[in-house]
Amino acid sequence: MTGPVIEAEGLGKRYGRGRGQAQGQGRGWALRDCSFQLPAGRVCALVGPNGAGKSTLLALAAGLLRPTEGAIRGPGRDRLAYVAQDKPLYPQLTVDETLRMGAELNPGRWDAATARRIVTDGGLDPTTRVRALSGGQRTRVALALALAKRPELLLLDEPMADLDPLARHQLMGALMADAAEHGTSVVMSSHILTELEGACDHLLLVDGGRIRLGGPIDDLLAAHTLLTGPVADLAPHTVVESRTTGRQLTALIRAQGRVDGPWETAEPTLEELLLAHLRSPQAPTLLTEGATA
Amino acid sequence: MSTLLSPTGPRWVVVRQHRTALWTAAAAVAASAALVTALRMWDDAVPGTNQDNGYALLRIGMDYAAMLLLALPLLIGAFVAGPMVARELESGTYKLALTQSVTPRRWLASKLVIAVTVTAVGTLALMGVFALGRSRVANEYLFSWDERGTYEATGTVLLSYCLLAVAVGALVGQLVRRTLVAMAATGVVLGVVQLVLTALRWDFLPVRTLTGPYGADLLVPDEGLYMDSGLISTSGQRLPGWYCPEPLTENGICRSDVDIAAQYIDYHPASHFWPTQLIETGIVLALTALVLAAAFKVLRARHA
Amino acid sequence: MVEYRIDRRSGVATYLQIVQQTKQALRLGLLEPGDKLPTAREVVEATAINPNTVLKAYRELEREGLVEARRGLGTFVRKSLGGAPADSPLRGELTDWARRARAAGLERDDVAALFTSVLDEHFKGDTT
Repeated sequence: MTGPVIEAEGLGKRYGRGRGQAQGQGRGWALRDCSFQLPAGRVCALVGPNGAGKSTLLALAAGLLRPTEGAIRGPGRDRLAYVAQDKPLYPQLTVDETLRMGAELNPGRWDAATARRIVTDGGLDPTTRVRALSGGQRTRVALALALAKRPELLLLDEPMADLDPLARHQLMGALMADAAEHGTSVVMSSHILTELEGACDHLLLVDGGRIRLGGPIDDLLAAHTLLTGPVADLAPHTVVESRTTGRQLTALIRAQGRVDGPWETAEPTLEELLLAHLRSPQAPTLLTEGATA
Repeated sequence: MSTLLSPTGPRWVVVRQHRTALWTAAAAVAASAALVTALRMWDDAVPGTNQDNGYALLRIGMDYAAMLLLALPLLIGAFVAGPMVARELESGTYKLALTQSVTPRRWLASKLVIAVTVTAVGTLALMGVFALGRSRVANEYLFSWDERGTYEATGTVLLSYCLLAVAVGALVGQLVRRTLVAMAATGVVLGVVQLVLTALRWDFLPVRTLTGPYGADLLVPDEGLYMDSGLISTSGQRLPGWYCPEPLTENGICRSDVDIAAQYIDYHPASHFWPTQLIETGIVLALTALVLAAAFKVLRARHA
Repeated sequence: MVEYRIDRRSGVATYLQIVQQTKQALRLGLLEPGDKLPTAREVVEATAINPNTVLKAYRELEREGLVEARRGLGTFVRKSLGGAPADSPLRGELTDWARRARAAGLERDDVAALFTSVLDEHFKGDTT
């Protein structure tokens, strides 16, 4: 196992007054007290509600923003690629010229064949100007720029939002193939979980400007138990969420030791895990081993 | 010129981004050269007189040319601030540019290198065109060495203002981050700097003073720039030209026996042209360096 | 060559789906000893799943002795499973039996239940 590709310590970012995005936080803090590690070679889902701080976290990791407090360490700008949510490209350039720009700005790293393949797979005419492309086509060009740079770390902010299901599958396949071939670490944000499930093996849940969950998805799922059964004392387990309907108890817990009791137990699905945490803002943060700074 | 004709790396990107503007600038310079050449030829068709239509048009054309050259720094500054810098920040393309392998420093430096190259080449060319037109009308009162427009466009001052414009554009564009507002703000800043220095420039060097006997004509020598004139009392005190102490003669004019020893005139001789140019250029270039340093400081503070 | 179909809504872990589909292909004789499994890159490009999931499935198959990874070459089938290829007599007999069950008026679920109970009886204690 190699070391972490991203390491954050007490990371915080505050925007100018009145632009606060995080509820329940000090005014203007988009992100606060974030400490975590992301091991290299992972495909990490960065999930959370809109305005939770996902984009801020990615921009900080990309070096586009300076932290207000704390620090975030990762690969330098020559070894990472970042695709912002709005897929910015120069509208007056053609697709071909956009790829030439990638080559000019990344000497010694640029993989022209990869860029060309991703663009032609989408049936794009290289002489089309970027301003004439559809949202999905722009995403494709932006991803071609990012992948052809051969980054160690790929930061993607809502990468699939503009794509139809076929293109989504195809581009996610291309991303995963790249990760398989080059061991690229990937962080993808989305507020739609199904976009990422299956492709990701690591999770960061951001909510209200804080990291709520972090770690390998398998470990996070295994650390939680879904209980159904009669109402009874749940101690000594950590309760993330519990609901009672009549005499029936449904709870998501983090088991401390064996779960003994009159309950039926099951491992939660990823969706159940995330929803339970989002509904229970008071549930303590859990960073599994390897995800703690 | 290889900076413009076969650029590589981030400079290629800058040239490609602003290809239309570059062609437009080149076309404007070429058009102005063609226009002035045509007017001169028309004027030369009727030699030896200043009364023909060609000469009249050339005069009018040169009037406008002087005004436009004074506005050139504003135009350059607005372009750097708006389309070159603020638009990247406004439209979010900086997120693309600043996460490539080149550093933010090099990103901004490439923009500035292209802007400075185009500015220098373009400004010198326009100064050449202006000189071509002015050589025919140089002795007209609006085109003497000290006239606004002529003064700037025939020395080093205009070029220095244009370079300052690039620097101010780079700073204001980053601070304002909105294309149109940044363009306007840069224009205002450059306009104020030009107005202030225009007001101060004839104080850089001490004036020369010519004195002469009271009552005779006293004229500015050496194609000089008139600054001030007046009377000098017997005690050596300077008095305003209209000054006349009591008592007056019956006709209301000064009596010849009042306390006036001589009259004086303050002026800048034409030989002050280059020293004044160089002092002003020095001030503007020093400002340019300061603003440029600030622009890079802002960049570093924001984007590591 | 085998092609994996991943069903995200099946509730079965993705790596297990790959393991099961590989075994199925081995049982049916679609994969034979010496055959090469698709590379992780090929699988993830077609399915858009995480590469580590494919590697996990291949490790599981390797642990069970069904495949072996040859450094730099790929993952190869070591042995086949069950000895009941698609054209074996056993399959023929089962096909006959299924046809008779249907003729006797049994529904699909009845047949499956019957088959499972017989399997449970004869393979008691074994694990998949």
